[in-house]
Amino acid sequence: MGKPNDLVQGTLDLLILKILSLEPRHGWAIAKRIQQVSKDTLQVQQGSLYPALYRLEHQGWVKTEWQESVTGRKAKFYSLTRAGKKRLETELENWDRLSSGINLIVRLT
Amino acid sequence: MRTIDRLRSWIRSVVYRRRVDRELDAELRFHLDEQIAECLAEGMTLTDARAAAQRTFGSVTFTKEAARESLGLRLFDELAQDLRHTFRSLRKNPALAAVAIVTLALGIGANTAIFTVLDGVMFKPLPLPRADELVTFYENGPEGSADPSGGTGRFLRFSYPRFERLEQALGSSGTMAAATRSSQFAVRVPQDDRPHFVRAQLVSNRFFETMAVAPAQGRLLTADDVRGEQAVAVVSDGFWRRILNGSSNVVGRSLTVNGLPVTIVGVGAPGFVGMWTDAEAELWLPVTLQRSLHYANNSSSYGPADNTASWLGQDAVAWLTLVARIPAAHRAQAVPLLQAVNHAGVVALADTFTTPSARDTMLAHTLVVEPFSRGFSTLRSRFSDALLLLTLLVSLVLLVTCANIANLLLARAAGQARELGTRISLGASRARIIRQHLTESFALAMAGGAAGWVAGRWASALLVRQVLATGGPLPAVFTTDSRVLEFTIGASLLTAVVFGLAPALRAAQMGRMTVLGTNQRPIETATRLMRSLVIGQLAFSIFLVFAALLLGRTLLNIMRIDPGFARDHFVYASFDPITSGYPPADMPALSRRLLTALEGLPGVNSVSVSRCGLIAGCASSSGFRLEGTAEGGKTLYENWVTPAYFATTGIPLVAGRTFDEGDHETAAAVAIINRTVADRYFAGQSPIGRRLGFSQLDTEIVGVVGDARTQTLHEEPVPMVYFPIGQKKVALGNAALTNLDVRVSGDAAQAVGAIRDAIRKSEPALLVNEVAVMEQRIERDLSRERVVAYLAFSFGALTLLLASLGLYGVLSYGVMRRTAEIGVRMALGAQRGQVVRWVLGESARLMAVGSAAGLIATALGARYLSGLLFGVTPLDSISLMAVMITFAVVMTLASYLPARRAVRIDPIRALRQE
Repeated sequence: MGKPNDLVQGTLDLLILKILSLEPRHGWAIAKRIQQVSKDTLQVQQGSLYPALYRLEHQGWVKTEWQESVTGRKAKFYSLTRAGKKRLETELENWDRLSSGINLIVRLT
Repeated sequence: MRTIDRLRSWIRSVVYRRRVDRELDAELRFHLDEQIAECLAEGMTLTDARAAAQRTFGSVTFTKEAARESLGLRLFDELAQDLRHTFRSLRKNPALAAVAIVTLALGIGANTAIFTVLDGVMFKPLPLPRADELVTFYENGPEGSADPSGGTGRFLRFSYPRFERLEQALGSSGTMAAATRSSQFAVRVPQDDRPHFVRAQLVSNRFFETMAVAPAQGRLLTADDVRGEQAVAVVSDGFWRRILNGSSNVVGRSLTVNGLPVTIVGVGAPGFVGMWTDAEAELWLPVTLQRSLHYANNSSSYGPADNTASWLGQDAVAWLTLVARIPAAHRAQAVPLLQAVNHAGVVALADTFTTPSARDTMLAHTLVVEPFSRGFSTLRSRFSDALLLLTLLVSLVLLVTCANIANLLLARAAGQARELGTRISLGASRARIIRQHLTESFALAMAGGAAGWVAGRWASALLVRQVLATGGPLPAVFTTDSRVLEFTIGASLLTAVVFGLAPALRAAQMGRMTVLGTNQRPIETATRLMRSLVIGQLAFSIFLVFAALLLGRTLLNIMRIDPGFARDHFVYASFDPITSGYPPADMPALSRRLLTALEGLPGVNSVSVSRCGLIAGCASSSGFRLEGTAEGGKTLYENWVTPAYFATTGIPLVAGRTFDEGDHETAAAVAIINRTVADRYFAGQSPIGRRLGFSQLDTEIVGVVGDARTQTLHEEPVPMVYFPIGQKKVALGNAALTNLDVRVSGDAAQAVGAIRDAIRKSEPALLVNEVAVMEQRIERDLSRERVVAYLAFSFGALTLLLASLGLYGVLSYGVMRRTAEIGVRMALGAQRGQVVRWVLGESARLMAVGSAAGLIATALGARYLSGLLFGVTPLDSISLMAVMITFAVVMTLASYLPARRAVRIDPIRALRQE
C-alpha cells in the first residue's frame, strides 16, 4: 500500500513469531509490542497483522485461545506451536543471513 | 504433516464458516476498542477517539477479506459466488440449461449403460479375495483351441483322473479344484409342486477353498462329502432368498436334485455365483455324484467312453474345468511341473489310440495356464468386438454432445461480451472469469451426469436383457456398482472440461478484447470456433450414421439368410428326459409316445423328435471312418432323429431316401449325410450305399439331405450325419433326446399352447424347458447383431439431431449478429433470394467441410466395423452415398429456419437496433 513503515516482505511473520516466542499475546498486544520494542520505527497495520496471524495459524505455526485480557475482556491469544518454534529458528537464520548480506552490500565503500 | 494441518484448518474454516466469521468480528472489534481506549487515554473525546481509531484501523471489510484469504477461504467464497452466479444465469436462460442437461443425460447415460455391460463382460474381476491369484488351465492342440474367456470347448475340459494327478502335483504351492460347467438341474423343494430349473456345478473337495468363499450359513463341502459321495449340497445366497424364501434353519433341509434327494449343508457367501459371471450357479454338489445325478453334459471323449458307468474313473472322458489358486511367488515353479504331469497323462491317453494320426494329434497337446481373475463369461468372446465398437460409437456421441453444449455456451458468451468487458474493467481477473465459466460447466455436467446415471442404470438393465436374451433376474456382474458410478462421475467431469474449457477461455478473451475496444474480433473468434465444432459434429455423426446403416444392413442380411430349413409355421419344444429321471434306454419309447400325443392335434402337419434341436446350442461330434475315403477320423456332427424329421424341419432330401418305420432296432443300420459331407468326401461319386462307422464300417448311407445351418445362422453349414432314433447300433449312450419339432399349418404362435398341453398330458414327469416358435431361437441367435444395430441406430439418430441443432445454432447466431448488415443490404435493395443464398451458402460450406471430415472419420473408423459386418463391406459406397444424401437433406432443413428469419428482417428495426 506504499505506506512509509511497510515492512520488508516476509519479515512480519518473523516479528510475530519472535514476539510470540516470549509469551502468548492477542493481536492488539502484538502490534503494540512490535511498536514499543522497535521504538516506534515499526508500525504494524492491522490490515497486514490479522491476515498474517490467520496465515500463521493456517500453517500450524501458531495456535489460538480465547482468554481474558488485562482489561478483563475476552480476547484471542496467540501462542507458538512446536512447529512454530522450529519455524522461528529457520526464519531467524534466514534473517541473519539476509541482513548480513544486505549489510555487506550497503556498507560497501 | 503440514499439508494435513492446513487441510484440517481449511476444512474447519469451511465447516465452521459462521463461527470463524464471528470470531474474526470479535477479534477486530477488540482491536478497535483497544485503539479507542488508547486514544481516550491520550485525552481525546469519545467521538474523536472513535474517528481516529477508525482512521488508523482502515477498512474492516478489507482486513476481514484478507484474513479469510489467509485461511484459504477466498476460493470457497468465490466458489459460492460462482455457484450463485451459475444458478442465476441458468435461470435466466432455461432453454440452454434444459438442452444441455437433457443432451448430457442422454450422452452420459448411454456411456454409462455401455460401460456397465463392457465392464461386466470384459473387465470386472470376480468378487473374490485376491482374485488375481486364480488361474485356469486349457490344452493347446493342433486341431483347434479353447475359448478360454468363455470357458467352452473341449480343450478346457479334463478327466477326473487327470485332475487328481495335477492336484497332487501342485501340492502345497496352491490349491486346485475341478468343476463342471454350470448347467441346468431340476430342483424340487418339498412343498413346491413345480420344479425349479437351477444352474448347478459339480465340484471337487477344495473348490470353495480355492475360490476363497466362506459360508454364510452352515458349512461348505468337505473332502469327506466328496470322497464319501455324500448326497449334500451348498446353495447360493440367491437360491436361499429366491427359492427357500430366505427362511432360517435351511441347513439340514432336503431337496430333490435331478431325482436324487440331497441335504443342504450350507449357504454360500452372498455374491458368490461360481465361475461363470453371466451364467450364475446357484447350487454346488460333490463331483462324485455325477452318476447319481445323471449328469452327462459338456463332455468330450478321447476314446471309448462308458456312459453307463461313473465318469470319475475314466481318463478318456473330459468333462471338468480346472481352477487353481497359486500365489504369484509359486507360479513360476509350479507351472512347468503341472505341464510335465499333464504331458504324462496325454502320453498315456495317446497310447490307447489306434490310429497314428490321432495319437500324434493328442501328443501335441500342451497345458496352458490362463489368468482367471475375471472368471468365465459366455459373452466375452462373442461380444468383445461388438462392445469395443459400441464403446467407440458411444464416446463419439458424447463428443458430439459436448460440441453442442460448447456451441451454446460460446454463443451466449459472445452475447455477453460487453458484460464480461465491464467485469474485467472492474477488476475481475482472467482466471476468475474462466473459473466462473468452468463452475457453470461443472454444474451443468453434474446435473446431466446425475440424470445420465439414472438413465444409464435403466438402459443397462434393458441392454443386458437384450444381450442375454433373458427376462429373468440379471447377473450380479452387471449391477451398476461403485465402479460404474466412478465411471459416470469421471465421464461427467471430463465432459465438463471438454465442453467448458474452450468457451471459458474464449469468454475471458472476448471480455478483454471488449475492454480494448475491439468489438468485432471477439465475435469473429467465437464464430470460428463454433464453425469448427459444427464441422466436428458433422464428421462424427456421418460416421455414426454410416456405421448404423451398415450394421442395420448386416442384421437384415443375416435375417434373410436361408438357414436350409423352413423357419415359419415351426414350433419347437425343448426338454430334459435324463434329468427328469427317464432311463437312457427309454428314449425310443419316449419319442414314440410324444409323436402319438402330438400327431393327432388339429393344425399339426408333421412332428419329429431329435437329439438336438436347430439353433439350440446342442451339438455332438465324433471322428467317423468313411468307406472309400482316406484313412483317419472325419469329424462329423451327429444327430438322432425320428423319420419325419426332414419333412418337419423342411430340410430337403437331395438323393436316396429318408428314414422310415422300417429302420428299427433289428434292421440294418442306416445313416443320412448332408451335402457338405457328400461334397467334401465323396466328390463326384454317389455316397449312397457307402458305409461309415467308428471301429467297423457297419452303417450304410441311404440318403443325402440339403445343408442346414443347424448351430447358428452365423456359420456355414457343418458336416452332418443323421441316425434314426430307433437304431441303437450307434451308441446314443447317455445322450438324451432334447428336442421336438412341429410343423403347423396355421399361425405358429397360436399352436404353442396346445402343443405344450399335449406334451404335459402325455409325459407329466418330463421337465419341459421351453415351447416356442422357431423365430424365437433365431432372434436369440441374432441378439448380438440386433443389439449392435439398434444401438448404432439410436446413436446415429441422436448425433444427427445434435449435428443439425449445432448447424441451426451457428446459422441462427450468424443471422442474429449480422442483423444490422442484412438490414442495410435489404434497405439498399438486396433481394430476398440473395439473403437466402447467403445463409444457405454458409450452410453448404460447413456441410462440405463436415462431409470431407466425415469421410476421413469413416475411413479411419471402418476397420472397427469390419469384424461385425455380414454381406456388406466396411466402405460400402451405396450406403455412404445414402448417408451423404440424408445429411444434405437434414442439414438443409436445419438451415431453413435461420434463412427464413434472415429474410424477415425488417430493415428499419434492424438499423434502429444498431
